[in-house]
Amino acid sequence: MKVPPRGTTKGALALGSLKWFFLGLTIPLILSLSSCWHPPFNADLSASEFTVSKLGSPVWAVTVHLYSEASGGYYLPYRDPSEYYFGAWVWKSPTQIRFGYLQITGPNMYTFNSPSLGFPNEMGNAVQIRTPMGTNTSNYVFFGSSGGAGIGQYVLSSSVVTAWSPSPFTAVGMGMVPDTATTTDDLFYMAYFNAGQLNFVSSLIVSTSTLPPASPTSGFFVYSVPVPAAPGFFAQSPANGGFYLSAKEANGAFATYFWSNTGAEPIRLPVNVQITGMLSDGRLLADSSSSVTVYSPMGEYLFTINTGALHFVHERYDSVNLCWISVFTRTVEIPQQNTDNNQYLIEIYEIKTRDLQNLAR
Amino acid sequence: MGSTRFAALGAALAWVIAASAGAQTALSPQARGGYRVMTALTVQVEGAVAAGGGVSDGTLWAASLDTAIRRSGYAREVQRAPAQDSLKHAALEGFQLIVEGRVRIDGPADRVTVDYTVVDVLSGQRVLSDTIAAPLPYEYDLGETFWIPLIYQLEKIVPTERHTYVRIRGEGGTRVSGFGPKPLVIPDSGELRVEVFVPGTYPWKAEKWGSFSQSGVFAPLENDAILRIPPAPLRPWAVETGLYMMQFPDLWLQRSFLQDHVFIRLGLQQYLFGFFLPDPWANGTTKYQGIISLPMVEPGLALGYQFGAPEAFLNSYVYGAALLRYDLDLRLPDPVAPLETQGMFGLSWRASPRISLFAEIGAAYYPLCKGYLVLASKGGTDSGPFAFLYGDQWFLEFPRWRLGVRFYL
Repeated sequence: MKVPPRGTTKGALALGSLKWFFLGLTIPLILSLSSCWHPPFNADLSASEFTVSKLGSPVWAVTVHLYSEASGGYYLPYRDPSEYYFGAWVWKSPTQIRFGYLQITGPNMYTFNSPSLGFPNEMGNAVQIRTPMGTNTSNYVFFGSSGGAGIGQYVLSSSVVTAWSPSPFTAVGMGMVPDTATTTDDLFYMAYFNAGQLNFVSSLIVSTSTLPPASPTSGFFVYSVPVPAAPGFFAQSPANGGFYLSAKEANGAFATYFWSNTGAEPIRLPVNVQITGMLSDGRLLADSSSSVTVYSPMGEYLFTINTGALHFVHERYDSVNLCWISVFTRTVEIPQQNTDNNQYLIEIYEIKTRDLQNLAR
Repeated sequence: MGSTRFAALGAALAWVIAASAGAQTALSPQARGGYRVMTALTVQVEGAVAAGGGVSDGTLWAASLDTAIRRSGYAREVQRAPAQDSLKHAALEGFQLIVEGRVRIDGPADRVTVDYTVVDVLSGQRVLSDTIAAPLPYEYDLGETFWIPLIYQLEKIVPTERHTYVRIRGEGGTRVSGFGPKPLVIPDSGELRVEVFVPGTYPWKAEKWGSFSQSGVFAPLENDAILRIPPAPLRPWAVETGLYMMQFPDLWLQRSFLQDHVFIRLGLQQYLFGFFLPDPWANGTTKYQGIISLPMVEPGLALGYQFGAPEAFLNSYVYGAALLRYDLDLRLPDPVAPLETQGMFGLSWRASPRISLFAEIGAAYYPLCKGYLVLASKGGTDSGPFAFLYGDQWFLEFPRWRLGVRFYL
């Protein structure tokens, strides 16, 4: 007769109810250890680094320690490369854009002006910030809000902020583009007074310009298109003389119209994003928060540049090499331990506008 | 004469059958290290023992007897008998002999008389009976010399024992220890016959390459008892999911080698979805509220070493991992820091053969990067209790931790 053994044949893994006891301890432990750790990854910084590696060494760079008020902002240099040590400090938020300034006065010496009053930023990426050629005194902002679109001017030397709207007209688009004939900038805006009748006016922006723009009344009527639901970009091309309006329609989509001249019927271009700027050669720019996409003057997609923390600033004319230069700026905020005063690495990069395609992703 | 022949023939036949059924192993008493002996001692003191005289404490007397028997080498185990039914208990628990003694101390005379008997448990017979009469010993004498006459006689006794065979069934090649001085190996037939003494208890352990070790206590009472050792193969493949930094779920496939000591992992760490506990004092300015999402995944490879046996309740291990930081926006390795390496120490709790829970802690090192850009990518130094170091081309952050569950396939 086979008698089963009295002893056990337990494995070392049997645990019984102890298992549930430990499980009960583990779950609260996990919850209590959940943290606010941020992985060392920033998509904007990585995108900018991708392009920076193609731009090569910065033409100008400086490291400064700034007050906590500087956090989140970036440096916008003067137009003149010999004065890159002076520029605006720009903060953008979904609802507002504000300015301060930074002036490097020597090694580890600088003047920093914390944020002043700002402008509505309800146009989002349609907002352009430009320092006109021939001047280092002002930054111009094109803003749009529920109260209407307008032009904002920030004068660095005095920190004076001024806003202007083409009342009684209602602005639907604004833009500043290089004037290749004068190597200055032209400020354009399109407005309407009577429904269905769009007209535009332009104003030359030079170093002495202040708001309101000089001679804002030299307008021309153009064939009408549906009035945009929100203000956008408008400018005359320095390359082909045509006019471009890019703004949001009532259905929420973006539309870009082109008039070859004031008497021509508008053509809707195959661009379904917000155009935000124009290069000296007439190519169109769509600057999103993470990239700049370049379109041909007739709206064909050309290429996209990863920007992220890198900002396209403007073009400047190189009178020595007789070419247009595209300028980018990047500000890297490097946290410091045990203080809110962070370190900022400011870099300015340049590339010939005709070589921009080399930066394509 | 004829019946003797038949008995011999029957014994030979039984041996052949037994041998054909499987290997068998005999066990000698000496090989087991001695007998198992129970003791029972009563102490009676008559009259007062003079101060500074011999030992009259019953506890010391009983302990000295146990020590003397244990020290002799005759017994491998000595245990005090229960107050009642000592014979029954000794039989059930596999003891061979009971040493009973009655100590009578004559205090005024400073003498002692010990009547002792030795009982053979299996037969129930008294195999030795004698008396020691001597001056009342001091503590030193009691411990060293007093019991020598008893030990001398005890060592001549061969108690009745019952031998039987038990069968051990398991996978061929399994090493079974606990039934002799050397481990036994189960042959390919899957069965091993072992001669043991009954009743008896045998703590055993079974080991086989590629399997979990198993252990237990086997207590055969009757002939032909069977110890079954079930197959317990290791599970070299495992899938584990963890919460990196208690925030980001991840998934890894693991393959173990060399008795689960060495392992390789292939997996994916991701930052597309994670939990984020905002600073309650941030007053709504924290960028993430409860959930964090970043366009990055990190496929990786890890190589590690586990220190303990696979069946251990708690186990510790170390591993190093290399992960490719893939930027989903750029669809490229991250230009800021394309590579992350980790050195981690882990503790795992094997809740069942199929499941273990683990906790890991370590550090992350980013080579081939601009350290200040990696730091800038963190968005602040107050994102949790972490420390960092960095240089021109590297970044180090610690601690990193991870909790999770490992499922063995």
